[in-house]
Amino acid sequence: MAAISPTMLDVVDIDNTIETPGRRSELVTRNSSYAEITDSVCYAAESPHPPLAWYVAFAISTSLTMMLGLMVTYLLFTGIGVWGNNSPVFWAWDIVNFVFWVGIGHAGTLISAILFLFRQNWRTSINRAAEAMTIFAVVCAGMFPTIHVGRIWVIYYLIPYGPNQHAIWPQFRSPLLWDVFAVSTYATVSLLFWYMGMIPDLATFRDRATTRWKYNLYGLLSLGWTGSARHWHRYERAYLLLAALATPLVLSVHTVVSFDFATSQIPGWHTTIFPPYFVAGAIFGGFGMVVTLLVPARALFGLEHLITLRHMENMNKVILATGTIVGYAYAMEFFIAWYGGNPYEQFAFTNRMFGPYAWAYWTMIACNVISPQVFWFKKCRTSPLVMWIVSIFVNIGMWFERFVIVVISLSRDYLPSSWGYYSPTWVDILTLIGSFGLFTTLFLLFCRFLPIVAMAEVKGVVHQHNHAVGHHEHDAAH
Amino acid sequence: MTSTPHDEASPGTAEAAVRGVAPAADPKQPVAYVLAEYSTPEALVKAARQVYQQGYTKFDAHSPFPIHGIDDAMGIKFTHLPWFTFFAGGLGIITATLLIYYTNKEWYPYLISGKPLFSIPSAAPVMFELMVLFAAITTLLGMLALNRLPLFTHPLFQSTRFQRVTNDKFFLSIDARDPKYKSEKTIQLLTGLGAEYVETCHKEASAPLPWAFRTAVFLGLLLAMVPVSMVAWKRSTYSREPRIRVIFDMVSQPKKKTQTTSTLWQDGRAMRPWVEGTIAKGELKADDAFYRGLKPGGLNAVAATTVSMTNLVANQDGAAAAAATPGAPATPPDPLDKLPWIEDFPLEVTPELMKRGQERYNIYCATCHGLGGVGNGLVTIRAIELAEGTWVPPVTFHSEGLRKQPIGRMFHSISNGVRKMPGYGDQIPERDRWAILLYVRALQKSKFAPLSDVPPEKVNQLTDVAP
Repeated sequence: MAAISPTMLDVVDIDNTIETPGRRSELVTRNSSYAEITDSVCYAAESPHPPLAWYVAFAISTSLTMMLGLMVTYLLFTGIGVWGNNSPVFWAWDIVNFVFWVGIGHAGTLISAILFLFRQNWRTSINRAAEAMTIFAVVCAGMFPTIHVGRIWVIYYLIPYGPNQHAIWPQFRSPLLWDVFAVSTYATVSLLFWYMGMIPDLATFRDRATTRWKYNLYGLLSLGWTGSARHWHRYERAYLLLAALATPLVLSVHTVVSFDFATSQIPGWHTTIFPPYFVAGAIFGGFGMVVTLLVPARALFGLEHLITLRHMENMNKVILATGTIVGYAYAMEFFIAWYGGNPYEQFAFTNRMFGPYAWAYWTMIACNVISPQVFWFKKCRTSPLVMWIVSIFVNIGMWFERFVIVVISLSRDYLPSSWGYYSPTWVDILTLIGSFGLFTTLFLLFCRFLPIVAMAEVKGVVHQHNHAVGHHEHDAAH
Repeated sequence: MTSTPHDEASPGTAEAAVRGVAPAADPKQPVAYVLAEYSTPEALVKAARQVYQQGYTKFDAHSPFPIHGIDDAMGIKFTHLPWFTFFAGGLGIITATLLIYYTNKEWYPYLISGKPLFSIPSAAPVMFELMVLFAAITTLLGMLALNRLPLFTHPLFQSTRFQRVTNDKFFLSIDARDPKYKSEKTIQLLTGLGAEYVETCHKEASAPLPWAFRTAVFLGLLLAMVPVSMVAWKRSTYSREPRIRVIFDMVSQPKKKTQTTSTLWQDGRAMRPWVEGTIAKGELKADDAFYRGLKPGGLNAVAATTVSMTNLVANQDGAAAAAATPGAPATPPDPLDKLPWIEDFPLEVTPELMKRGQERYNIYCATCHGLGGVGNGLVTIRAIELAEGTWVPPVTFHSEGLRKQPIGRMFHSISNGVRKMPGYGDQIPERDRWAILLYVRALQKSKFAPLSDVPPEKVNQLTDVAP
């Protein structure tokens, strides 16, 4: 099903998953020239027709997006009652979905900013797609609290709005308001970071444009980039600064999201482990989504020599590590519930395991803690099929983690007289499915119209690598 | 394994694609740039270093990716951009601090559980986020501004070869405005430095942007002003029209409210009167003595005062306070004095009730009235320390008036409040209110008990303490 660009027909790829002591493995698996990298990446946007699979996926995703539009319209014109939210579970799938999507978004910034600061050059092949995924996940995430407020036409009350007629102001001691600032800052900074990283590649698209329409559009977006060394100097400095700003930002966002729960007094929410545990879970889930998207995308657009098995393997290692951290956090929550001696807390955790929602809890454990353990085996880490299946399990597991935290804790708190059992309505279910449609629609459009791989960065890394190898040989000659 | 220059005939490369799309060169215009092409980054760095050493200042190197070492070769000074980021971050923190301080402490103070209106820990998340937001936006805009971007036209864009600068070729451009620039010599210099190809780019003849584009931008800006000016106009004028409601059924609901008319009933009123003889759930409290501290039938006496029972709070600041001020007008007679209050407890008095009363008193009453009932509770002491002008100190229970006050009247005070004290009827059940009163009676007795009330075997101990 893979579409093959004409430049890569008779090439044998290097296996860069083999570890050779004392030698860095290749970041791209072909002796690619700069032009070959450009051609491969531009092929997705320049080929007259995308592969058939793209059309099929796009048809399905746009239909789901339209369904999402209908669901949101129905919700807004009827009221929150169309959802299953009711006493005692007032935060249900809307907040579950919000936390799920905003968590997905974390992998993008982690790859683009944190790995950049740590000089992990392998990030260059995957950071663009991961950042795009971040933006689209944050779009989906932002939608849920927005429609959850019910009266969306007065949503501007959340903003400290200057000339306000009602003379009331948002309450800055509430973690929900911190969330408004954290998520909107995160969305803005991710967008800036993504866009800035794309400027040189948009200039490539401009310079290869075949129609005036494309030339003007990409020309507008690339802001007249000429690849000037003086520009590159400031550009690189700006990129480093943005990475340094985005790194604490990405850690702060899910920390603030976890404060929504941790600062309340609901048993099962009121725990200090939440910030680090949420951040680890977000990275885990985000990497899961990156793998889910990149396994088909690299095959579909013939990018397997740029987004190599080594890249996928590295991501699987991150999934294994963060999945195990998440498993540790689950165990530690239980330990503290027992060790802390608070009977409500103890009940909350026993109830998670053996209560009416035990099925959700054990689904979460199976998907998040057990399924990534197959990545201890190299065969599984380097098999696209296995990693794709596991990554989907990770997505399911991370959704259930938020369900377990939000719904189970609320459904049974202090007073047995006010316990309840939450069930979603059809609107809840279709809205969640529709949000996946929106996400994949945006991602498919991105694959077709924007550079999927950061060409300029990959070329720079290839140049550095060649340079380093050259020096090495030179030194050996002495 | 150095990269090889790409084959000219490779499909999809710039020259094949863009001919006819990019702006055309006009050789009649004066020369703006001399452009030299190199195929490796190393050759470009070498050439750039030579040009810099020759004393050229208005020249630039162009490459598909940043080349390390070229800054030094070209004498590029370190950018000021980090300072932009630093100050913008600081501005973000200041903005957040002022925003939170003024909105939450000065303009809209809202006290929650006595927590401070402004404190650093609760402000820290927003301060951090605005720091990052301001710094990030400034970094991007600062980078663009220092680079003089966006730039929608440039003489170099006329060169079809230059289109490969974003693909696989490396270029050096020298501006014709450079003081060292001399047409022939400069071209010779670049050729001598291993350039694969040297050409000249001319100044643009035509307008930099297409006419349609400029019109579209202008119209777009004009249209963008429409909603802004409409909002500004609506905000500065008055209107007799009803408000526009996007979703109207939340404000105008299909239901009848009080004080409205209805055609459904003969009397035309929307609100239905109370049906004779019905009692609302939880409202059946027939025992006047237990629930209200009144003698049987006392409610009729209340009805005669034309005030409802719960409104009978003695809310003037105390007869004692008024009497203490010389020249104050005589206190109007308290309507409560005339009511038939009960003098005895309407329930069985037991040691358990006394214990219960002591416990409840210490929970609910002692904070103001003090453990001994003289009015020296912690709240009172604190209020006096702070010199709170509106504070009315609680009277001592050991005054003559209160010791003689009917127990029913005191019950009324607990239930409905007196002076500044709020009613506790909603918080303390009736039985507990009576228990508290029993304990208050015990406290009163403790200060004014005659010696005959003290058991004979303890009289000696008393004289030791108070001779």
